[in-house]
Amino acid sequence: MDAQLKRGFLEICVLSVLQKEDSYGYKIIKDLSNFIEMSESTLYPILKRLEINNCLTVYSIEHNSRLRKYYKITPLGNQKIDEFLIEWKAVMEVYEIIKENQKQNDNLELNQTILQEEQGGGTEHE
Amino acid sequence: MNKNEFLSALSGKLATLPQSEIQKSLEFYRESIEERIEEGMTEVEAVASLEDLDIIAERIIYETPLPVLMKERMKPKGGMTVGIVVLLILGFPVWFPLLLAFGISIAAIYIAIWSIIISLYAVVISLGIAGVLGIIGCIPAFMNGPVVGFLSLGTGFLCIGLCIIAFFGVTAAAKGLIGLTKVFARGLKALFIRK
Repeated sequence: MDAQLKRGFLEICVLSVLQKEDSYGYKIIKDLSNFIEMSESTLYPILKRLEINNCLTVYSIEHNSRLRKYYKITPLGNQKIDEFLIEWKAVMEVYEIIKENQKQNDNLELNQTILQEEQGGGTEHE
Repeated sequence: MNKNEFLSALSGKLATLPQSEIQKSLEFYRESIEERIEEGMTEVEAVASLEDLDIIAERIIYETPLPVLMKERMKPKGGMTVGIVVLLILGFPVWFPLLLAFGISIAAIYIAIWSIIISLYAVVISLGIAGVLGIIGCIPAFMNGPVVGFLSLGTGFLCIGLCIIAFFGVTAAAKGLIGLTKVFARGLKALFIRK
């Protein structure tokens, strides 16, 4: 996948996890692991970028006598997900058309090979 | 490697970054390690389950914006003393032209690369125009005799053919040149990262 595309894609994945509930780094990775593999070194810059772009805010809660950093999605972050869904709806429509075209092409090729085999078989019988 | 060894090694590799950035990164990885320990891993296992230290450090550094890196590189250690401020003001006639020259050199390289791309496309477009004119021009040229007419028509087709071939070549070259600007930008960034 194109690097720029992948980057935007991963950002939305992280925002989507945060849309369910506020979360912290390690839990985000575990929640994401259901559908996408992400390491800490990938997640960290994404969180930083989302924070700079005001898509999420950060707060700390004490947990087992240490601080745990929680990330909370902002209205702008929610808006980014909405935009993603609208954009990708259009992309998916194009995807369906491309897939349909390929299927037709495959069918055409299949028909041709069957036809050729039949012709080949016919000559053998003679 | 235990937690503290890992964190101090990471801190060492991030030394080019501003202190606040280093602190944030260390906190993030400290938390990651502690979460793993809470889940039942030992400290060493937790550190081992993270990625390679060099990969982690490189990702953090290359995601840091260039202005932040430059500011850190230019910043004198131990803050700005009065002496340094005086020197900065007195040295203005020296360092300002140098800084300006540095900036202009970078701009010049970008302009040069883009000029090549633009001029290559200009060749393609002019071949196309010459081709079309050659074909249209063959009509009055035929009035001057078949030799001149066919010459004009032939040249026209030749130009259009060259235009089409050149277009693909130029597009490939332009892609390469744009890739070159990216390499250049990365090299520029590396300039401000102390190894």
